[in-house]
Amino acid sequence: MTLLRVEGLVVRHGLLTAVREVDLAVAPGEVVALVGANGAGKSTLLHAVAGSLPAAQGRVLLGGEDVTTMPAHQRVRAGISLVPEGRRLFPSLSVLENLLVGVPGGSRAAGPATSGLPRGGWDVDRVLDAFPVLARLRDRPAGLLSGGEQQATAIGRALVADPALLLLDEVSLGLSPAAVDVVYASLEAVLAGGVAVVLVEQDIERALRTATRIVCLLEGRVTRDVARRDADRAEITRAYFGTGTEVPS
Amino acid sequence: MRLLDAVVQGCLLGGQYALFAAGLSLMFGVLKVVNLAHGDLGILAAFAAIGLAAGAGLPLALAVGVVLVGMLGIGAALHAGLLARTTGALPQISMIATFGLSVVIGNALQEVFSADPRALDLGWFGTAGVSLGGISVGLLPAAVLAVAVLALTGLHLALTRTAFGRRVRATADDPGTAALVGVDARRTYLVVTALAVGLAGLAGVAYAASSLVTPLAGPSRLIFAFEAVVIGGLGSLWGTLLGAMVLGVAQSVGSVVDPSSGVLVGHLVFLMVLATRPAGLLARARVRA
Repeated sequence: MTLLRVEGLVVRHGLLTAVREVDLAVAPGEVVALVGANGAGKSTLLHAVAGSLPAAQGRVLLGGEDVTTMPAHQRVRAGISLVPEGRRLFPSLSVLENLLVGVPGGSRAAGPATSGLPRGGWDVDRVLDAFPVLARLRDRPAGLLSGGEQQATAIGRALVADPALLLLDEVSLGLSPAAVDVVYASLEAVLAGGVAVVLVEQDIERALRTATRIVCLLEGRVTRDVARRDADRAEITRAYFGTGTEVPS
Repeated sequence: MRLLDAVVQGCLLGGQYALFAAGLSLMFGVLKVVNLAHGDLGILAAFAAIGLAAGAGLPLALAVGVVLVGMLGIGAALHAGLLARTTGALPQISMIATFGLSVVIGNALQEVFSADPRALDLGWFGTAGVSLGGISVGLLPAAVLAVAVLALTGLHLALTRTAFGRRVRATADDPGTAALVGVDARRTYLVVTALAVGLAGLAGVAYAASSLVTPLAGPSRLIFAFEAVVIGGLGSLWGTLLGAMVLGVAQSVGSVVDPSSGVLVGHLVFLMVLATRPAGLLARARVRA
């Protein structure tokens, strides 16, 4: 079964074509790392999958259902949650309120929409258990958090919708190395929970350690799509920088 | 004693302004839209209530109820038909659009109802009052102040305590990210606009019950509401209530000093606040809404 299937996707920012005819398939429980230089189209691809950027051509299918024209807020119900780059918390809401906004139906008791997709069974209580720092800071305004605390809140806010597919955009950007370790340590619980993840990560070492599959993007196109066990660091680096896309023998 | 009386009357007057300002403040806080037709929408509700009660002979409570429900619908239509098309554009675009709406409503009312001043007749309640230690307090102005405080308190509780309120505040903070966590920003905006226009209707009916209204009275109501919002601090509901009180008291006390310059004193106080505390009186202890 394929959870997410992207077919011939083209996304434009005005005149600039950021994603060019990308095909991508993600199976349930898979952890896919998107690797590529700045401007390769990684974030754009995530936003098009989440529905916050329109597809110029091509299709996005979730669990076999075409969601290409579905607005972003409905895709959350359908099972796709995005943790945006820069966290983008609601600064005037407390940590707990940020989480509750992400709950379908808006209240703590409401369960997620069921669409038959495999999900991780996340809710507010489980998020507070998995991220103890959030339980401690629950009543603090999100505008007053440190970067690592903000990132934990942003991941929690995406998880409470109980997604089948979690998209993580640059979760380590702008954080101290210690905070990155904490964020990835708490992500372990998410990865173990059966949610499929597509993550964008600048740190290739980190991507290779976390993901089960590596997809390299260069100038909007997929140049490599390999399982981690077949991934060779030097090869990924070359694909990242676009130096010699043909593998030297 | 005259001064104390003026302060009390000013607070009662402030209740009127607060009611007009509540919807304006809500809409600016959430949609970042200054609805220049806000006053005219209130006057529209006032004339609709007068028409239904005095013209069509409906019982007063029923007429007011019908008008308020109608105003919610007009608010929803205002968003769907006009403001939804201007969101994302420059803020000036929605200001120009609502300014146009203001002109249209005022002139349409004048066409239908003529320029004669009218009032909503509440019978004995409209003129009844009690004397509190030598200061006479009108029942109607007191009721209007109570309704204003209730409306603002209700709004505050709805925004801070309910799931709907969380979605509204999240959308006000960042509509794009709100969509990414499952909030339908467009629907949130539509409900908020409906509420704001409903409040404008309530304010307009209260105004018509308290004094004579003319079809072109909207812009002057808008000015006082706008001053109340700015004095209190943009986007802060408690600030709006405080701002309305400050404006009402300034006008009332000003009239005691010189009967013809009460409104002028109100404007001067507004300018003083703008010059010394441009973010408003409650800018720091701000209740985001």
